[in-house]
Amino acid sequence: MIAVSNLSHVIEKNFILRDIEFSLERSDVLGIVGPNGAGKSTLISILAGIVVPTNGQVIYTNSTRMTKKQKRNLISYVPQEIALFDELSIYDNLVLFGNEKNAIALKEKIGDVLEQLCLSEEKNKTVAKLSGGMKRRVNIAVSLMKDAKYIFMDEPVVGVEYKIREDVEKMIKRMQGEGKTLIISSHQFEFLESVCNKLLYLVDGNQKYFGEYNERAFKSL
Amino acid sequence: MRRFLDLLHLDYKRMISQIAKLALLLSAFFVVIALIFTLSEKKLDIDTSIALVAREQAVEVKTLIRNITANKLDNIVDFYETDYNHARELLEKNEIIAIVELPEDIMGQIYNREIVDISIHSNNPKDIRVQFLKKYIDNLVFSLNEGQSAAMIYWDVMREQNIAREERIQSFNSLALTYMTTFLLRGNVFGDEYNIDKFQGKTFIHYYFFSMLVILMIISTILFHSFLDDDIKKGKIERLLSSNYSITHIYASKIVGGMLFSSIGIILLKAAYMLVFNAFSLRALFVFIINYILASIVIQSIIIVLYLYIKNEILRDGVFMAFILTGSITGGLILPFQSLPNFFSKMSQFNIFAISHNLLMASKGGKGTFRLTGTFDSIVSNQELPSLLVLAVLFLISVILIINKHRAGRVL
Repeated sequence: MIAVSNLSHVIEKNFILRDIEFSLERSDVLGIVGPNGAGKSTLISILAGIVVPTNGQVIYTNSTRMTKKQKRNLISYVPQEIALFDELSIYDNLVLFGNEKNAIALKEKIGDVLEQLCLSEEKNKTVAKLSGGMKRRVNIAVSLMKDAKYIFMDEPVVGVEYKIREDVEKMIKRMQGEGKTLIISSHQFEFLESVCNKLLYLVDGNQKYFGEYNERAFKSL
Repeated sequence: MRRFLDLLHLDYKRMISQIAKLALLLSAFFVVIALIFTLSEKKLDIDTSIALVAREQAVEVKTLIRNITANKLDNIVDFYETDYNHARELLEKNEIIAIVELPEDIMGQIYNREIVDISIHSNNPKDIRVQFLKKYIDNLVFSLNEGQSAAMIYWDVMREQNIAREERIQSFNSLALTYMTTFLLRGNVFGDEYNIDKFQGKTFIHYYFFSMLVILMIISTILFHSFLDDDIKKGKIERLLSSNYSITHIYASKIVGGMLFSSIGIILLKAAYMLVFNAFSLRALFVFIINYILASIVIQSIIIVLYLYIKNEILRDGVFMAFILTGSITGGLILPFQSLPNFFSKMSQFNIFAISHNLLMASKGGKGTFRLTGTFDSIVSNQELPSLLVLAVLFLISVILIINKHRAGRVL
């Protein structure tokens, strides 16, 4: 599980997030929605351990005593931007971000990920030469290189064509089936509705709703 | 180690993608060097001509000139008499190394028992040839004075023999034609020194060559780390950190990558420079590379800090420009410290530009390597130990700032 309590974040005396509280169980998929500047990306960054919050805490797997390295091993993060190295091939990017010390295991893992995302044939193409949608797919593929329990995605399907969005949906559902907990921020309700079972609604950094993702919740937004 | 090498592999790929930019930058620097070389080609000849300018044509003065010019150094040093304006022209063209000027009314000053100052004008007072000339004339005058002491004894002998005063003077004057009365009273030969142009001849090329290397090192470092901005904005660094790369892995690879990238042009230029001057020495090149690494590591870390702390691109570019300009000026890269207020010379102990300049120039090797001229030698020797300490402190501060930026969660 993941539990967030009393979480606030202040930048230059402005509250970006204020008193956020929720908890998720195994296989939960949380959709974070809200207007621009609501604090969605900041929350994802805090949950992913990238930004240190001003106040409050995030507890992973019921343990408050975890080293940074242990936390990192639990977490996988898909940033909003295409965080790939353009000069490297798809394969080399996966090697670079792969969290596997054993060379054979790493190769196998890369093979699996490439197959899951139908990228095997393109693996030697440099990222710079890929289309936007393809880059988005590789961007997500990188997050699969870690056998993480918690996956945080910031706008994973922004600007992608329908086919790729469908692939991403399938991927998320598969990860959910594997018992992973996912937190996804997005502006695309249709996409969130198809993958999420929980919803967090933020306005100006304040938590307006947290609960089941159902029609009632959706209408209340 | 594997993590570090993976990141270095990435930087290698980036280096390859930046080669075209580096080649462009290098070719610009080659053009500048070629221009300097062409313009100063004549200056590379080792001239040992010296102009003698006498403002007065008295017999005693002519005798002094004869004493100076008729010497055993005929085969090495050419003295010739000319007027001052012509001598200045020759000096500006570097066809002579110095002007020795005998002032007006020498005889009047002597008769009034005043000290007569000979002036010496040169492009570089520290030039060993000019130093030699000064010593030579000093010794010459010393000999003349000794000869004159003998003449005084002779004067006393004549008086003892009751020779009439007029007769003694006549006899004395005939001696004076040979031994010069003019310097009887003086202790020092030279008065004022005029430093007309500090950068003529080899010194000029040598100094500015290393100025250019420092600027090239900084520009190529800025160019290489331009990726860092993209890495931060697009969350690539965040991603690497969440993939269990440590801050040390990430920045060590960037520093090594940036160092390798900027070294390509610099080491090539340095080797070419040594070859052009027929002074290639592996030992000197090795010392140069070590000094380059020292300077580069610190410059890399400073540039990384600027990339991390200044998010606004326009502001950052402005800061880079100001950094290069003010650093070059206050660090003595454009004008030497002799021409700057003393304050800059003192502050150069902490100026990374000045320290890098000295480190790169201080690549002394064995035979066949470049001789540092006095001015720069003294800067180097004054700074050697403090420079290393300042480099270590600057590096440490940069490392703290880099770590702090990540720990504070401002970047990530």
